Amino acid sequence: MHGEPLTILLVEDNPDHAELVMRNFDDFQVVNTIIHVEDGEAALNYLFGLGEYSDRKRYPLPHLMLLDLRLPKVDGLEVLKEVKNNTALRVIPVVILTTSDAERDVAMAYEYHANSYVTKPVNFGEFSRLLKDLGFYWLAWNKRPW
Amino acid sequence: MRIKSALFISILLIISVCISSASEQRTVKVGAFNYYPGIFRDKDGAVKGFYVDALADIAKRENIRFEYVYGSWSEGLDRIRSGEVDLLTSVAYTPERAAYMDYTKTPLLTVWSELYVPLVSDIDGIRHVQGKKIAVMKGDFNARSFIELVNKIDIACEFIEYPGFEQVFKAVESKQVDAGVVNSTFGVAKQKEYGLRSTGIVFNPFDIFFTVAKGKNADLLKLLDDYLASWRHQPDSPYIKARQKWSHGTGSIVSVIPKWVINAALALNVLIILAAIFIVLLKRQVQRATSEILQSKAILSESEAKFRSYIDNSPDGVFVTDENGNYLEINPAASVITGYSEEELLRMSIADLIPPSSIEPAQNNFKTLKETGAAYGEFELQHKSGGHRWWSVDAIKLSETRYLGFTKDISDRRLIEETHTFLLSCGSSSTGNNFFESLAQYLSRVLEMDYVCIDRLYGDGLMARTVAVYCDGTFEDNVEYALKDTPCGDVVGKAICLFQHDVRHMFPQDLVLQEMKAESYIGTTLWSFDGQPIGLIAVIGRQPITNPALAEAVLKIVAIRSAGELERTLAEEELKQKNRELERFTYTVSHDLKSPLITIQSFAGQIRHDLESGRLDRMPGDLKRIENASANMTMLLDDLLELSRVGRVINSAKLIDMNGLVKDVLAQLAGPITQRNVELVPSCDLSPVYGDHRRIWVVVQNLVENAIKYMGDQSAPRIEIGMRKDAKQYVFYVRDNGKGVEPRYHETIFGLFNKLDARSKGTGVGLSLVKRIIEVHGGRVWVESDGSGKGSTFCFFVGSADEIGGG
Repeated sequence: MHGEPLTILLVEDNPDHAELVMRNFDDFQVVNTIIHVEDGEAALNYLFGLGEYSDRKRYPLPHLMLLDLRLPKVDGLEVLKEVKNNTALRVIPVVILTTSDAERDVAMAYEYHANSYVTKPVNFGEFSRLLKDLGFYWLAWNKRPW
Repeated sequence: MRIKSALFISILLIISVCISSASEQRTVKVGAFNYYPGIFRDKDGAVKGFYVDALADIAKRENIRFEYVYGSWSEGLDRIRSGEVDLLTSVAYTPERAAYMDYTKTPLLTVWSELYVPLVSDIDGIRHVQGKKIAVMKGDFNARSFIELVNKIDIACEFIEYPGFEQVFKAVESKQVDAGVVNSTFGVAKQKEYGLRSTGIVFNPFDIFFTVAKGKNADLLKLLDDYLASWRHQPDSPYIKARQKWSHGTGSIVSVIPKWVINAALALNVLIILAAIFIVLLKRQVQRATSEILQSKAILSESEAKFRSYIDNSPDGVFVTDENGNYLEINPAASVITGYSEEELLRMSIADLIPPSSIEPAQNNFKTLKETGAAYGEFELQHKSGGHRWWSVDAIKLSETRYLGFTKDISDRRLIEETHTFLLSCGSSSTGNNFFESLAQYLSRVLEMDYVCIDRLYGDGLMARTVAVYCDGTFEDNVEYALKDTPCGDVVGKAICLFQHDVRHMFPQDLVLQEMKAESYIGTTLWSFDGQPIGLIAVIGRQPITNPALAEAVLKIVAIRSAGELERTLAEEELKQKNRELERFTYTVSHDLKSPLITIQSFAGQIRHDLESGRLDRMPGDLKRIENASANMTMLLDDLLELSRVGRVINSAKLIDMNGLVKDVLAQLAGPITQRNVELVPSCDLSPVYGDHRRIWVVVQNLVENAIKYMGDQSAPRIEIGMRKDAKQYVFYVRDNGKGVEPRYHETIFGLFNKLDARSKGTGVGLSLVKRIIEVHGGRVWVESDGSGKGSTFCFFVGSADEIGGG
């Protein structure tokens, strides 16, 4: 299925995991722009257009955010909260992509209006499929906010 | 001429009459001697006696003047013979005397001789004079007669002569002789005076006469004769009267008292004496009895006073009521307890003092008392001032109409009991904060003070955070405040701190006290089980404290329980905290182990995928990722193990040479230091500390490593390791001029696995480990940094030797 290229903000502190995600998203036929930030502070800076990310041409608002929970500097949930409390930003679908499957984390994430919550599986095969499904759904099926 | 001669003749006549009358007065000289009571010379020198009186009478009638010439009897005889005297008295007739004297016919007196002896004498009869000494008057007729008599009956005795009868009696009286012979007249008159009595030996009665010289003064003789003759037998004649007078005169009073009178008088005397003795004895008896009575009365009254004083001084109230509860007697303490005066109470009954709520139990109690004879009860009492107090009454029934009670004010005790009850009931249902709020409310009520706060201490005991604040009837939000300059600051460390009044003037800096216009303050420290102050209770009032002892007691009681509750609360908190930490730890660990696993698995899969598709370019990189991930996992596990060990096993503290340690660390890290081009600033001398050498080594190493790691873009990186002195201890620091740490991350960086820079090496355990080690050493670690690009100073200090260990 074809879609339009999306800007995806990947907030992930583990470089290896980020690499995995990016590789899997690359396999899609649609070229998407994936911007990778490594901590919560950078994520917020990007979203709010602060600091080095103030150039919106270079750093457009994402159509989708993949957010890990455990982040240095600013925690993932904090980022989520900030995003969803902001009128301009809350339309952005946020998919929590994290190792933790703790009930509390799931509950809190939804409490802060996460759009979806997905746990990284340990099994490679599964991780691969997850990412594929993820991409497919959000990029192909899902209507983007703008 | 005729008148002259008439006058002359009359004068002559008068003169001749006078002469003739004068010549008619005749002077007769009388020979006087001692013939008491007839004639004698008295002490004053005058001659007296009944002869004298009789002759005086005659003298009056016949105009004669008798002149007495006094001398002894023999002299008298001589004088009449010589004519010196004209008359003699009491002369006895003897033929010899008749030779030169003429006697009157009528005797002057009939006398006889009598033998006188002392009152106690053995001469009872004439025979008894044998061999005795007898006193006689010289020339005395009586003597002569007696001598003749004893000669006649052949009795020989010794005769001693004396001049007069007086001397004879004197001799008998003084026992110079055994007896004396006197005439009866003298004897009768004088016996009493000399204490003599008649022997009853009387003899030789004879007459005695007036005499004149023979042949002379015959007319006088006749005159006297005539008078005597008529007078001697006339009972009231001057002669008789005079005789009577002189016979019963001084010294010769004859007790003419009948014997029965004497006996009666004697008997009466004896009776009187007996009566007197009896009266004296009786009086003494009565006195004794009276004094006994008085004594026992005194003892009784003393005893009564003694017992009365017990009742009056009793600190407990003592009272007596009738069967209706009306007060009949009360002691001063009862007044104090009830607030009413004695007079007031005596007009009241028990029911007047009991408020309605306690009436029924009081009545039941009285009923029990009446029925069983004794009762004990505790009741509410309406004090005169209106306040409610509690009193205990221990009562005994004395009789149907008398009941004795002992009462105490037990308000204080009841309050203490109530406090205990409160603490008990405040148990299971309300614990934690509810407990403190209930307690604050309770204290405010019972101590009648307006403000109560219960605090927990933190910040080394310098700050307090309230867990309950109750003010003027409402709960207020909890606050934090510094203890300095407040009475609470004084409380910490003491058992009870009490300011009875004026507390706000003692702590002028305490604004709360000033605002409240606080007068009184009482506070207590809450102690943990191991004796550390962990909290305090403070109670503040706008009135001075009237019963400080009670307030102290109540506070002491609640303090123990409160301390326990507080400790429990703190422990709970800590436990929760630890649980949370544990959860986070577990969570973090599982996450951080999972991550590398995912990496490993995924990239292994990637490699296979690539192998299958023949794509080789990514493979080396992917393999490296796998290796790194494994290595990371190993390191993580090692660090975690180390962290867990720090708490459990610690080597015994020894003195560490910090200078040497730092040098070693820097030597170890020489590689990265040179690589990053870090300038090491020379530091001051570091003082030694007590601790575990290896662990402190780890601390320094971690801090230096971090400093190097977080240099960022610093072109002239510098690291300084030094020491400064804070208020209480030496603080070591590692200062760098690198990236710095923003203030909001100052706490979080010490959290487990918190890395500020995800890409940086290390597991994120480092600072967490450092914190743990320092804490175990009884110290603290923190970062001072203004933020990005401004460098950071990591500081730590280590506790004293005895603070190391545990935790």
